[in-house]
Amino acid sequence: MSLYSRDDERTIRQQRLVEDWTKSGLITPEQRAQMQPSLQVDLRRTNLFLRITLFLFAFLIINALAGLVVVFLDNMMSATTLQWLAFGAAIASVLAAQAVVKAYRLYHFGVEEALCAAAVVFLAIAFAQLPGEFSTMLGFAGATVGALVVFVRFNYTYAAVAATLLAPLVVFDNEQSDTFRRLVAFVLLFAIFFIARQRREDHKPDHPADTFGMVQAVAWGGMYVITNLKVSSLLSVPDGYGAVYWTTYVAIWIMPIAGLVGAIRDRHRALLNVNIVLAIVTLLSNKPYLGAESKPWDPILFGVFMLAIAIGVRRWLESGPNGSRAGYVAGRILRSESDTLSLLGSATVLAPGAPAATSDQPASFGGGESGGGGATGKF
Amino acid sequence: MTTIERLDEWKAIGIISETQHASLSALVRGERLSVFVELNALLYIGVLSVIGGLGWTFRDYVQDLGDAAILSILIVLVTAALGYCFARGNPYSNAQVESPTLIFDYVLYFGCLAFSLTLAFVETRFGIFGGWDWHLLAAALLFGALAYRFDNRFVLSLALSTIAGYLGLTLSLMDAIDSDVLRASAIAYGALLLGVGLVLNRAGIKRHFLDVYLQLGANAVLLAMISGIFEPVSWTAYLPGLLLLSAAAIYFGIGYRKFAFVAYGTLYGYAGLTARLLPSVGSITGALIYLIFTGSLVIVALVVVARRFGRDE
Repeated sequence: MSLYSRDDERTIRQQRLVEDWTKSGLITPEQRAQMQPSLQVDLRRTNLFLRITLFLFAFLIINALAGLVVVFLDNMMSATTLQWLAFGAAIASVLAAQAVVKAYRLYHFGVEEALCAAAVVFLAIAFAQLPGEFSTMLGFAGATVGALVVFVRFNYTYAAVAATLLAPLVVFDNEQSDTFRRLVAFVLLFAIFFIARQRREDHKPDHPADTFGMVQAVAWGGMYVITNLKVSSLLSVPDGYGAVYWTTYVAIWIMPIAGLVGAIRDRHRALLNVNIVLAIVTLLSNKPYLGAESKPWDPILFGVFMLAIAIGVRRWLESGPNGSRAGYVAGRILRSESDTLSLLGSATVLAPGAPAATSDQPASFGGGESGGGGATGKF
Repeated sequence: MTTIERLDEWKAIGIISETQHASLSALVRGERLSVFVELNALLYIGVLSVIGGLGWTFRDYVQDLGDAAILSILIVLVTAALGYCFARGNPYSNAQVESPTLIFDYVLYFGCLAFSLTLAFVETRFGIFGGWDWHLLAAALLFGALAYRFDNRFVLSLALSTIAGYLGLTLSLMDAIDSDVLRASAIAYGALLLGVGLVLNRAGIKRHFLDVYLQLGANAVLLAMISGIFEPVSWTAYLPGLLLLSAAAIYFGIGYRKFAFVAYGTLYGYAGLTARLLPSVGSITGALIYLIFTGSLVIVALVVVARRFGRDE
């Protein structure tokens, strides 16, 4: 079904691994040079930044073209015309994406991805117009179907992730009680989680296990968000049933713990990271759930707890045989891990900044946020 | 072919040794897994939370605790953190230096944030510096020195954002640069970063920091220029400057294979030009045709660049 063979997808990932191993000193540049001839693929790729720029411009052109058609047909435009036009545009976009991939052997080149993204948007518009008046429920259904088609045909991981996130939104426009909607969405995401888990197990450790692992982690995160009434109150206003409320309170504590245990057992990094975030969200949701008043020292306790966990886990791992426990190590193995950290370190420059030096406002104290010398807040 | 099969093949033809095969296979199978990034993320969140909590607590309880107690606590925290770093840190080197321990970078970061809190407290309560300017400049200089001494990217970012604060800029994505004075500050800031980054790189001092300077400097200058495009009168001065700088970003981006700058040059340049030209087109049809035509030209140019230069990364 996919336009790209599994072998090509795997070879591309192997190329990245070989680069990382070389930078990490696990193999020598000479060994890398010997490996490279066996890692050639007949696909045209580009740099990430050029890919993003190509995507943006291609998306701009597609939408301008669609806009032009709408302007020309302005006098004949009705809901049905718009619907058929959107269907036609969706099909044309996918066909065009296929054509450029086949003709130029493009792989993650930006242009064909923009065509696919546009197809999903057009399909969502077409579905939303189906009953004659605009329906967000059908719009989300259309977007889900579109993203799924793109995933199956073009094998984009983010399309699978988008489909996973869009699928439960279909339920949230349903005229049912909040509890019912949450239950249906939860069951839907659980089914996706379970299927993705099975598929990941089938292919581990190679592609497409990475893609299904990502879908599994996102579905789990979605299940948690739907369960946590404090986090998802904007998505759907809770019914206010006491039993439901306290059941979800228990669930938001159980889910990150169960998820962490499963992720550690399965050696599933994406799921591990998602559950670390969920555990933090649970800690932050605790007081709002209990209706307790926030205290100024709460962040200190939370921060100390985070530091204690990080230091404790590191010490525990390092005290194991060969500095590891069941294969888990606290230190860096690959260069890509340092690169990720460097990127995060550089990105902190965009953290909340300092007050303008020329500001006429009275000075304030407190907060101490990361950017601009911590001089933010009020006193 | 799976990765394990590939490794087996490379071992069979003698490209990798038995030991390498074993260690690489363990990595591929996930039998050896590092939680380095996750632990670092927890430490970062922990440090920020503690500092945020300290600021909040001191603000709410300043009357109960008293200035002396708060100042003493802050001084102890700063001294302890920086003392630890000077006692445990590796010797200075112009090259990249690995942190001696996992927590080292975060102790330094904590010390710097606690120092900021101390300065902010002193300034607010006693007004020693007579405004935020000196406080921010002092903090920026100290952070910059510490970032280089201990090779810490978090502290470098803190120093650079503090300098921005000193120049009257806030580096929030939501903030707009909406006056000529602020624009001049942003351009000066960007130029300063580009200059310092290039000079230090040329001197061989912490060359791995260069990207931070270039990325931030280029974006500050281009953002300031593009914000000037929307000025009713002075846009005529900003547009040629923006186009010139965009062209320079693309030229040097291609020359040095830094494709982020090709992207910046293209996006800022196109957005600036379009913002001025589009209103004069006069009709929706004309505007759409303009977008299709010019967008196609950009795509063709980018494809040429991508095919000729951009395949390596």
